[in-house]
Amino acid sequence: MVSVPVITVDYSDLCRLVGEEIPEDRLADLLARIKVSLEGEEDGELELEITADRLDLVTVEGLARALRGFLGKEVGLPNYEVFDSGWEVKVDPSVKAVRPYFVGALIEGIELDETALVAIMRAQEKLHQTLGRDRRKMSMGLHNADVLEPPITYAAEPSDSVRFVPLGETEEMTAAEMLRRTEKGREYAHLVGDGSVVPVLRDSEGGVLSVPPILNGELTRVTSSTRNIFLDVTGPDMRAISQALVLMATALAERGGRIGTVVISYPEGPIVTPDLSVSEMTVELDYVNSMMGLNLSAQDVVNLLEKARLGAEAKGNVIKVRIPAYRSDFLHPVDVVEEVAQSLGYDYLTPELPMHVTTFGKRHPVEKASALVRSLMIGLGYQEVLNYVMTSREVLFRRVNRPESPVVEVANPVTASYTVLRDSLLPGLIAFLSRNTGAPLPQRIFEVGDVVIPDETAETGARDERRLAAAVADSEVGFEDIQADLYALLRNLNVSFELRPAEHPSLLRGRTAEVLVDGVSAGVVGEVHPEVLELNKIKTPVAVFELSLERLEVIE
Amino acid sequence: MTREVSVTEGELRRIRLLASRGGRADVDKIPMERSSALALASLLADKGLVLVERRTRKVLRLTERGKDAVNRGLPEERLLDLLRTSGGSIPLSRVRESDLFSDKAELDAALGEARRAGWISFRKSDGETIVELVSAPERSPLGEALRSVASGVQEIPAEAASRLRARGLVEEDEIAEFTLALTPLGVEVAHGRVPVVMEVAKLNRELIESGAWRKVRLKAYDVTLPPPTVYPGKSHPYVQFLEEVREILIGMGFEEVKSPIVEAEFWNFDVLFQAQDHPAREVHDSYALAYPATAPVPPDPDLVERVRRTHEDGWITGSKGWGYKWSFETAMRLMLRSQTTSASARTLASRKDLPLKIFVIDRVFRPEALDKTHSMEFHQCEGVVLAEGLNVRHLLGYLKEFANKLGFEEVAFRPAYFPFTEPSVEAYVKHPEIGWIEIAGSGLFRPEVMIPLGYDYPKVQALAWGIGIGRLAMVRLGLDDIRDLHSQDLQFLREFPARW
Repeated sequence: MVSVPVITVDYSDLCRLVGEEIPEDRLADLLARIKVSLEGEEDGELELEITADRLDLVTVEGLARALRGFLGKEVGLPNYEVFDSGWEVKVDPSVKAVRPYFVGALIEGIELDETALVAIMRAQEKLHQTLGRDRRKMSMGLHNADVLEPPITYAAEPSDSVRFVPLGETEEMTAAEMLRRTEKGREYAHLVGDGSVVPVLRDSEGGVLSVPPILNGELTRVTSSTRNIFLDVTGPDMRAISQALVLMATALAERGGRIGTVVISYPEGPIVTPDLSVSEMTVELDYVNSMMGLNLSAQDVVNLLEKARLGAEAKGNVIKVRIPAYRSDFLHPVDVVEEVAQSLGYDYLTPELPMHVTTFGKRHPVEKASALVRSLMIGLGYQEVLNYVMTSREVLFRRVNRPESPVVEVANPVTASYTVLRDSLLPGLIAFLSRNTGAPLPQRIFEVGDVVIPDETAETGARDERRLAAAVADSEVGFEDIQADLYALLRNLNVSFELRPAEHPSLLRGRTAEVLVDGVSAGVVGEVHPEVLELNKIKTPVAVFELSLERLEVIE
Repeated sequence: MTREVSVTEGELRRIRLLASRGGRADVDKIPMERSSALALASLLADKGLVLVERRTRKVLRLTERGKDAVNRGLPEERLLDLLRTSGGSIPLSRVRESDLFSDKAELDAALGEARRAGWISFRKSDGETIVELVSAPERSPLGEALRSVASGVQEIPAEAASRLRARGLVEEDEIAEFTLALTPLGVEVAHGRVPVVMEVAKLNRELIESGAWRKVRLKAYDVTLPPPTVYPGKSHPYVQFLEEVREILIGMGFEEVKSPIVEAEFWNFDVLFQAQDHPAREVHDSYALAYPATAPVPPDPDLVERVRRTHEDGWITGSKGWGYKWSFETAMRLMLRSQTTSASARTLASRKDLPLKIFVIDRVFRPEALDKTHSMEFHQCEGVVLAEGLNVRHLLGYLKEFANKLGFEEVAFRPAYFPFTEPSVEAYVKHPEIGWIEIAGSGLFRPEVMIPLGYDYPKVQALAWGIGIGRLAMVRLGLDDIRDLHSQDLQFLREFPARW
């Protein structure tokens, strides 16, 4: 699932970045406090599950940054010095229709060993998958800045006129060929429309850095000897690409790089990226304490927030919180409250029941009626079964000779067996009997459950209806047998009813009746047609009934 | 010396029958089925009324070949008949050509037997062997013996019996014979000279009404013998578990609510402040509908407007919002409920009678292929406490109470992330065998959820939690395959204990 990213980090790399050897069990406890769960460990690599709101923890550098706070090694806002790199990226109007936005940064003076290089590539891929929704919303590239001659141009060009050696290839080819011939080209070609025009990043000498969001060029390959990195991020969503840039730039800064800003010249005017400006939020001490059921002092709260790598300052009972740019998960002061709770640790929150909340429990009327009906059916000797609401047209119609009718149908089924919602319980019971032809007789089964009926007058175009259905299979069983049980049931439910001869496509004519309550049909009772029995390979006669609890008026 | 004798009416009748036949008879002579007669004999022997003598007897029985010989005559008899109808002599080649013998072995037997008995002789004429009738009885003695066996006579000459056996026409079998003989006590009983207590097998209405039960003795049964299997009417184990959970929550003061299976995205996501481009809203995480596709009736327009603004810029909630253009059309798209929180959201929108404690136990749907651990349809159990002055510790209090009532002593909490709650908490319980298992996701509803629904946040708070109740059911029921919760195997359901 996209919403739960799982990342892989090198254990010793993490410890190196934290600046302390942390035993694994202690690490697991620490990680749990920032909602990260340690899923497994193999060959010195940790599998970690992080939450969708904390993409700053996708990078091992970000994880270390957070852990240093909890360990008290470094608290409060991280201080990233930013310099003006003097680099410029010109965004040509032609990209508007293809992949309109670009942001970038220059990272200087970084030293990367192989482990660090792997960590950065992994983080990049994970960001592509999560924030980038598989590169659709965002993609980024890292380049060896030393081979580049600024300014850089971001423009859309015909794909057969772009010639370069794609990363991992040995020969030069056009972008059009790259889309066909390389693995990444084929995988992501759908992101550049028909592929006739592609976005391209070139330096002032025409060297191709990248054809985003597909592939970088071999020209700017980053290796362990690279010291200066140019970061490019493109996409259709300015917010997503800016966030990705900040996450990656600050991660590289945690590795010792210095962050240089780049001027991005859009036709509408220039912007400067990355934007590392700190945002502010104020939160009242009373709010924090009332939500947590605690009595912390303002200074306690400040200390706890600083452990969470936030800036915090108390003025009386108001706490001013400064949030680093890489934390995009602060929407409301309530998010600050959570930081306080996490820093404190949930173990310090003693469970307590509120004595001022007095309410009375109550079963839903539908469940009350269902429980009553269920107990009567059990008294009549029936075994309860529980089928899925999802089923197939095969089971619902064809296998029981019913003509097809509109039923609720999903647009994205996973398997052919589950594509529609049942509008009757009987087909499921017949399918059940057909799977149990070898079990001892008599077989007496029932189900109490919802069917879903398309209904244009219902608020959501369909309504749930609670029903009861029963079936008896025996070497000799007929209408009169199930009818006797039906009468026993309805008499005990104190329902006035009458039977009227009826027809049902699954049942035998002349041995089928409608159950009328106040002149309205509340269900059907009858013997299953031998044709249906044959279709289901059932060797014995089967008698059935199905009733709507609403129509029986047994629901209060 | 007097001894109490108790007999059933049927037994007494048989004893009298035996007495009338001189106190002794073969079991086969008793007019009832042999096995029942033997069982009766054994009961009477136990009571000291009869002696059962067992003997074995050898009997002759026809083999398949023997039966054939009875129908068609012995081979040598057939040969003699042929000779007689051919004027007393016939070339051997013609005997061979005749269809009287099924194979050469039978022909050789016929020639050999007839010659040894002196009934025929052979001579040569023009290089051909001629068979001639010498003198022969009308019927062969061995054939006569065989036919007597066939007619049920067992007493045949010993020599004939051994020859018939040697030729595979009869075989010897051993049968057991039982003779019942009244003991002196039996004789006394038969003649009514000993008082007997009448014994009956089944107490019935007549015995009770007439008061005759006082005079009879109820026969003792072997109460250790297993009866035939009976399958009672019974509830489904999973339903039973869900009912138990329902009872616990009702006992804790929660009121049950429901919502439709076919739901508008608005109630499943938007009201819960899940952004329209949130990953959980993508096609692989929930079922979109082909039919019906759009909700025909929009929710309260004021609520829609408040939700729109909250998503876009936070409205008056104090939130920044998600910063995108919210789409009404997207919100009106229909789907299969993917979380029971939609029911909670609907209830919070319609009910304002605080304090309110509600719960939901219902099915939710996600696009998964059905296998041992995944299901496209499963149950969630969800609770919400809505009141003034609630905090995180109260949430933990309810979770702990609920876990304890489900039988889990140890509970632990961890921070978590859910889109519509903050702070969010995951609850874990310790299972004696499995260890720590996650049972609930929970939290306090976000202001972006509460304020558009019309609540005075933060004064009024909503504590909410949800449980994948199916997984918990599997732990409790000892199942390791999620499909067993909807088992299609009748015997599995019939044999599953009602109290696990």
